[in-house]
Amino acid sequence: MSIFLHQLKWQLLLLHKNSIVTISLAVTFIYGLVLYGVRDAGTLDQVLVTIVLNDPSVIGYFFLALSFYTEMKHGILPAIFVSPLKVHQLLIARVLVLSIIGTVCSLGLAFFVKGMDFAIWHYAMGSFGICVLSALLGITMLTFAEEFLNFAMKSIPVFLLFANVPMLQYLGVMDLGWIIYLFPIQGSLNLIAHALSGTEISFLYAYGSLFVFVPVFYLLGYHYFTKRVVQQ
Amino acid sequence: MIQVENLVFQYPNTQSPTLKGLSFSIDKGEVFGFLGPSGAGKSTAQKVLYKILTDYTGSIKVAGKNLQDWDNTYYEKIGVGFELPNHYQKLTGKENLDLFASFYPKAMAYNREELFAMVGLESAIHQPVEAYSKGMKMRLNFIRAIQHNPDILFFDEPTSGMDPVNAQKIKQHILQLKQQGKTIFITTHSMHTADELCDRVAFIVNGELTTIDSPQKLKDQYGKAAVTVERTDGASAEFPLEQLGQNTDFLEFIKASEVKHIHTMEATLEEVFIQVTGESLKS
Repeated sequence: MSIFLHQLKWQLLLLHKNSIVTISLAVTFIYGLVLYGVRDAGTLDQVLVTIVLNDPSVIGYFFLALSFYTEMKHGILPAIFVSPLKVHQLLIARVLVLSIIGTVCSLGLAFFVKGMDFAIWHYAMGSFGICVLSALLGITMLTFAEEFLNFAMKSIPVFLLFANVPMLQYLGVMDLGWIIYLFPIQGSLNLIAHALSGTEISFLYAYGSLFVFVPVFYLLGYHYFTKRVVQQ
Repeated sequence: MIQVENLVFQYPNTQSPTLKGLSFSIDKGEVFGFLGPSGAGKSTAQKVLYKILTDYTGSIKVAGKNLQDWDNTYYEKIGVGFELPNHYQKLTGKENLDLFASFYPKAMAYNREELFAMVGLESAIHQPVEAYSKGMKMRLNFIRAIQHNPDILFFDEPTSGMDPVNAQKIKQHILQLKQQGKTIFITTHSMHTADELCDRVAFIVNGELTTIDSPQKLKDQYGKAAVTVERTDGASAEFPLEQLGQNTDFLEFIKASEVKHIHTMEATLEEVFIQVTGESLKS
């Protein structure tokens, strides 16, 4: 098994031992029960999209930061940095595992209320995209705060801009016109909305935005992590 | 094994370099001690040698190759024992070692059980690290550093937090690693540890190396070749070691009354450090 595949296994075990997997599943289950309770309401798809926008993004963003802060607190990162494990392998493995957990939780929510009656692939890709982008943004942001509480405070405006502006546009609370297409998770949001409600979509934009924003966010996260965490 | 020439390193946004032209070399199979007070530049020098800080000037060669030319295989060649315990608390001791072993492309040189037994942790192998004492965690640090059988070992305060028995065991293991031909770089505040383990020591103060030599030579050079004798009647005197057995003053002095103490006047490494650098190691 390659070093990278080993890391996926270990990252999953670490998240499990730190109860992150359990918390993610428990929160998803509670959301699922709420959704099941309002399944006959006319706005169910909108509620589901709102929850899905928040649930995987929180799993990606905050849990990724929490895992790194735990390692910083215990001084583990310097030991990793003097091993042959590349920073790329560490970051990608952690982002990937958290994103898979977030996607599984999102799928669970959808199965709860929609059964199999939705476009599973596009929905999964949309959820996965939100998780990956959130986790990558989390990497950048954590390099600007020494500890988790400070990180959480600094994250409020960033997270509102990142996740909630597209959500408010989707709910019809605001209309930013074409500017909304510049928001990193707009493509993922379109995929999820289309998968659940059959709304009109440009797949070129939706998948294209993921192809553009994921590498950009990764390079940004890698740059800051290397400069502000590895080389400290 | 390691050659450092005129190493200068300055952190961004600082007025002056942290390392100001360090030059030293370490032979294969040598235990080299880096001694200095907090803030002297020890950690920075280590980070440069770990290839974490790369914006330095000067030349560093490890195993005949420029440090900058080494790729990630460099980390298969080195092992690092940190000053403080740094493990995943929720994982067991064995899981911690297994996790770090998974970073290496080659199979580990040592059997896990043997490693744990080597440092007296065999009964704690399957316990979560959060249940370990500090001394146990430090022993885990030690075996994690050596588990991939590296050629070069860096130990930062290798016996910190350990009881005297386990500290002695770790020192013995370090000397065994030296016997196996490992090159060992130790940073410590403990003069006693440095004296016991190091073939040579370097004193670093304010980013500069002031002295490099063997502990014994330094103690000889800065000490006095003499003994002090203290008698039970309160009298004391100092006599040169040279021809001590034929020194009639000495012989008469010790015959005159019961001797309480006889001490050589060899300097301790700490005294040498203070004399050479004008600074205390504990500052």
